[in-house]
Amino acid sequence: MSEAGIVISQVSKTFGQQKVLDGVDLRIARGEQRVILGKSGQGKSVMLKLIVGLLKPDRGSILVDGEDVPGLSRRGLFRLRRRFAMVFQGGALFDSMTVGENVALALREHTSLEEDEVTERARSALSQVGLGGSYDKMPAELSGGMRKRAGIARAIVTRPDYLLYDEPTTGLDPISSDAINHLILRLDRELGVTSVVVTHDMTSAWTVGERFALLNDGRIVFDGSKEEAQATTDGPMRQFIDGSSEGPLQAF
Amino acid sequence: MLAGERSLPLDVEGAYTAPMFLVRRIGAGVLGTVAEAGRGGLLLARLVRALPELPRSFHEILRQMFIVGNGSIPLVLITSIFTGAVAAVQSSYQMSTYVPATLLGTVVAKMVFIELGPVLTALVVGARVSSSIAAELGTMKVTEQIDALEMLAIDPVRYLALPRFLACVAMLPVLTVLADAVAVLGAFLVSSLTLGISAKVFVDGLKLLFYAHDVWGGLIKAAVFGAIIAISGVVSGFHTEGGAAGVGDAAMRAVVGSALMILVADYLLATIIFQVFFG
Ligand SMILES: Nc1ncnc2c1ncn2[C@@H]1O[C@H](COP(=O)(O)OP(=O)(O)OP(=O)(O)O)[C@@H](O)[C@H]1O
Ligand SMILES: [Mg+2]
Repeated sequence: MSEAGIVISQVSKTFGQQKVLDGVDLRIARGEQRVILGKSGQGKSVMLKLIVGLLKPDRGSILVDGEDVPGLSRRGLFRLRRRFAMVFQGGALFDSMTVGENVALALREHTSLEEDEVTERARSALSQVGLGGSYDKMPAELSGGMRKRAGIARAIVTRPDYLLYDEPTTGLDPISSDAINHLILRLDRELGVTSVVVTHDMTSAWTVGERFALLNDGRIVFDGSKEEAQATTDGPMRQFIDGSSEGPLQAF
Repeated sequence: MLAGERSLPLDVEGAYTAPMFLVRRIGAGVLGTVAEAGRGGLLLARLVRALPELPRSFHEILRQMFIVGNGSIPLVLITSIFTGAVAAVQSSYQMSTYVPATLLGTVVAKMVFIELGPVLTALVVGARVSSSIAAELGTMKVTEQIDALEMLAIDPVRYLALPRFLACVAMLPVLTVLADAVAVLGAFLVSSLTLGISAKVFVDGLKLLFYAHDVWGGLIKAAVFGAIIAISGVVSGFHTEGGAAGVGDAAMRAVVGSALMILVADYLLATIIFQVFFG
């Protein structure tokens, strides 16, 4: 039976000699706010890319609302991705276009909206991330944090069902971070999006997360609700929450 | 281990390992080229499939045509004026006393229209354009902009590759017409200024044995070369891995690939166009 949401089972991914994911199991229910934690280099970004078919797993299955993502044709993938949006770790803004054109691109390509409606929606998405005045700037003129926020505006403008955030607050000042966290929360509540937030910023995780997963050594070593995460007294999850270099997780 | 490996060719086994090393290098090179050609073929298939969506990219195609065409004009002018001049000097030297001076214009025109114009234009424009395509798309690849396009459900082949491909296919023949004209002018100037051939004799030579299909054949070749330049740049760009060094590497592969493919294609096209069709 097909199940709403994302179901990852026994997924492995190797790059050359390097085994990044080794039998990952994870379910993300429709409407859930899922946080994926993990040390740097553990394959969190790779996991997000697997979910949307930007990478193919070596083994295992990935179902999104019952559809087998690795088995989809390009046309099928594009249809699926119309319901997704991703905030890339480095922003990934198109640097030959203005910030406004970046945000408006998907609307221009996929909808028959009038030009002023497109501009209007792009401007409003930019104001939501506090970049109302940057519509005509080039990405190169923005700071790192502003680029990240512009990436968020580009992701939310199409009102997707699923929003994947790859470290949305890393590199932002605490005040912008908090604003982004509340923006993520508001989108979750108002639009009912399913969000997957990859992060190692625990403040952000506690604010936006409803269910938590911890990725380590190619597997999910913790999977539970926010309350369960807070209540753990030992093991890798506790160590990650406390930010300690002592414990089952190796620093390097 | 690294130091050991470096000194291997000088080792006792040197006599054995050095040729093996060479064989392995050549083998890897051949495999790499075959893989690249295979990717080029796949890309061509996807470009053809994206053709129906062409009207959506109309503006971008014009913009790319401007970049390819306008930006290459100085390069083409300089290359072709000297090409024509050299063609005249060399032909005059080889013909020297045996052949009547009238034929100088004839020979130069044949060389330029069939071979020198299209090929040299493609080589210099190819170096400029394929490296720039590879570097641009390669940077987009390593900064995840290509992934970002994919995420917006926009096909990078349609959105990025198709306009560049069509611009190159359209502009190379145009640039070749310019190159042909300027090369003939260069030959004319050299002939009348330094070789003592009068304008009338040179022009009579040009008209003698002039076949329009020589020019058409050259322009068909130019269009194919344009396709090669774009495909080489796009394939290298889309397969860029790993940061700034990867982008530099992609640009280099694009230039080498386009130059090699142009020369190979020139031979094949010479056979097809001038022996099968016009022969
Ligand atoms: N396209 C690729 N080719 C080769 N190796 C890759 C590729 N993508 C990721 N990797 C490798 O996979 C591992 C996991 O990478 P990933 O980017 O998913 O880490 P991450 O958990 O997101 O780390 P961070 O928190 O630092 O962003 C890394 O060791 C990386 O080198
Ligand atoms: Mg990452």
